[in-house]
Amino acid sequence: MKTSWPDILFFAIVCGIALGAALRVVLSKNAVHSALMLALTLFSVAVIFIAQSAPFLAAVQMIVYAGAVVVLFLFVIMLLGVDKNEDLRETLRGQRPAALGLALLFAVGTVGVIRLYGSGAPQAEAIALGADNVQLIADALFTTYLYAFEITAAPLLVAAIAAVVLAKRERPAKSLSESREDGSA
Amino acid sequence: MIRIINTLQVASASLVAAATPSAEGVIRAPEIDYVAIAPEAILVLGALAILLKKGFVPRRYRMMASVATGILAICASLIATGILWQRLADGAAGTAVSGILAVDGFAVFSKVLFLGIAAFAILLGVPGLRRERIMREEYPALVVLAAAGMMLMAASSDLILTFLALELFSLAFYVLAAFARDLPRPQESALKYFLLGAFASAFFLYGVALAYGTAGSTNLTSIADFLGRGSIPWIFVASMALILVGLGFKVGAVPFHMWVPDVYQGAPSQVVGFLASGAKAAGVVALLRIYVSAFHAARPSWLPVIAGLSIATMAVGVVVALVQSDIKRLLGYSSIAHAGYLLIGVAAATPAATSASLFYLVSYAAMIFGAFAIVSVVSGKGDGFTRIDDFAGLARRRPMLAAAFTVFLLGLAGIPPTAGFIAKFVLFQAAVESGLWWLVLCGAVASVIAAYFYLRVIIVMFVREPEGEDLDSDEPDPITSLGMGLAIGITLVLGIIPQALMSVLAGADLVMPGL
Repeated sequence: MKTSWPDILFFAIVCGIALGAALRVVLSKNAVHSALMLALTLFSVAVIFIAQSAPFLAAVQMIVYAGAVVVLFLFVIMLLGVDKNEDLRETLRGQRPAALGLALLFAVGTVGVIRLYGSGAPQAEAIALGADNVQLIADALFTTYLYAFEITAAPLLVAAIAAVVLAKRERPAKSLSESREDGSA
Repeated sequence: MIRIINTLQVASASLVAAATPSAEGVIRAPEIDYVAIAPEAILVLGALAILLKKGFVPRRYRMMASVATGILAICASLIATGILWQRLADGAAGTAVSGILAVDGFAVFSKVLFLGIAAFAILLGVPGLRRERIMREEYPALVVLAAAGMMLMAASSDLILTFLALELFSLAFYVLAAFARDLPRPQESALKYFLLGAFASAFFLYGVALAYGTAGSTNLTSIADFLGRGSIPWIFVASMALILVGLGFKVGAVPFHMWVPDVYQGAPSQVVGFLASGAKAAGVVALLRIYVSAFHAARPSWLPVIAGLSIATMAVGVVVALVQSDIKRLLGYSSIAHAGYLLIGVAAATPAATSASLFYLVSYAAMIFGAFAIVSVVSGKGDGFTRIDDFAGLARRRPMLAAAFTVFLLGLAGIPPTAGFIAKFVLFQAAVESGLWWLVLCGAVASVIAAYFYLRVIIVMFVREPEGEDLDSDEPDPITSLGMGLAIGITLVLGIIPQALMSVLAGADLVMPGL
């Protein structure tokens, strides 16, 4: 299957936006800008998913990442307060070379897999043959990975317990009634 | 959007009616083997019950109800595991729930081991945490959820499920490490544990992604088939290395061991026994399941790496432990050395080595639980006295405690008649049989060096005079004494009549697609 030039042009534009926004995420000195640029990056990736006829992934990408996760970041930034005179000196030494090394590792792995198997996993072949993407995902989620899908609930439960255990103060019963009396007085 | 909703409706409808005819556009729900998933499902339900009971039980009885529910869940899960074992004795081993869950002797035995570890965690943890006034109602819930995660590590036959299980018990462990949240040292060590753990999980996940990219599946049986077909692409070798990083972190293998001494020192002594035995056992059973069983055809690729890790781990563990002055750090480095011995069992990759590793894990769990129970009693409030010098003259102050600690230290050193000796003996024997005599030689040298620092603690307890004022450490409460007694019992009984467990382990074979 030969790729037509409008496809290539479209891909180049969207990729350019995604890469540019990703660079801004890392280089921007303002945390709010970084968060918004992250939303743009994730949105561009969602557009690429649509171009690859994966509408479900695109929807999930936008709802979960661009919607929920980035909004969460913004909340945290808002709650901590955006300080103009924030100290931007890095406390972790050797962070940048380490990040570059890991990025290289990721690139080598991804390119290696693509070179080995051009068309990719069986799922990708089925999509290329015109099978319904949503159907394929539902099939994987509710048959092959049904048990794993259900087990996902358990780590989430632990995370909820963790939040309660680490953040909630156990108040003695007496002080609670005292504070209530103070409120009424 | 409408299409998505339609498909979801179809999917949920087909889940309700399990036997829908296979028409176009209809997803057939897999057959769910409820007996196979019961042990973990009961634990998760137990955790939910612990959390929900807050609305029904009066405040005064909540703590008791939490602990009782936790113990009940563990017992019920044990019964479910027993039923599974019985079924296994009747029929052949296999997989359940669309091939994602292995049902074999290895998985079932590991489940019993992890349930025992969880029972010890409640038995020894609850009284100690109450004494420290950091006990929370959620503690039993975290313990049973961690146990469910560790059991899934042993039973998982799919790398996706292994990852979820890894995260499940790791998240619970991060919280347990931070249980004394108002003190700075526990906070620092728990944060370190969390950050490094998340980093290691990312490595593991990337390894899984590369395995999927090369083998076309995350299922261990499919991967074993793929490897059995012939040449192994270099990208798959990278994938095995990355998965090894993730699991090596959990067992505390060098060079991924940096968190071990800090977390053992920082976390409350009452929970360290659980963190130590649980994380190590879960990591080792996953290594056995993934490397020995599924990746068996690729053994020439991973053997040098795992053997090298094993040697480095033993060397760093025993050498650094020599210079420790804090008992919790000493036990931390000793646990790193034990990770090295256990890696010998993984490298040997035979059925005999697998059951030897399980034997080792059982005896190690009993010894490390007992050792940390004693540390938690002697160190007093807020883990104030954990220097080895604080143990000086313990034999005079608390002769029973000193005697018990001696049993555990001799066990960790691997001196007969304790379980530690038999465990090392069968493990080394299995490794020699598969031709790894050079690795066993390193292990033997490490054991000899290790004996020095264990004996040093014993000498400090029995020979040295108490320093300064009499610390007058607490008498252990009856439940802690009971737990210690059980641990001593396991350590000595397995050391004197190991056949009792060996005969059980003969039936706990790992189904090896690669063999």
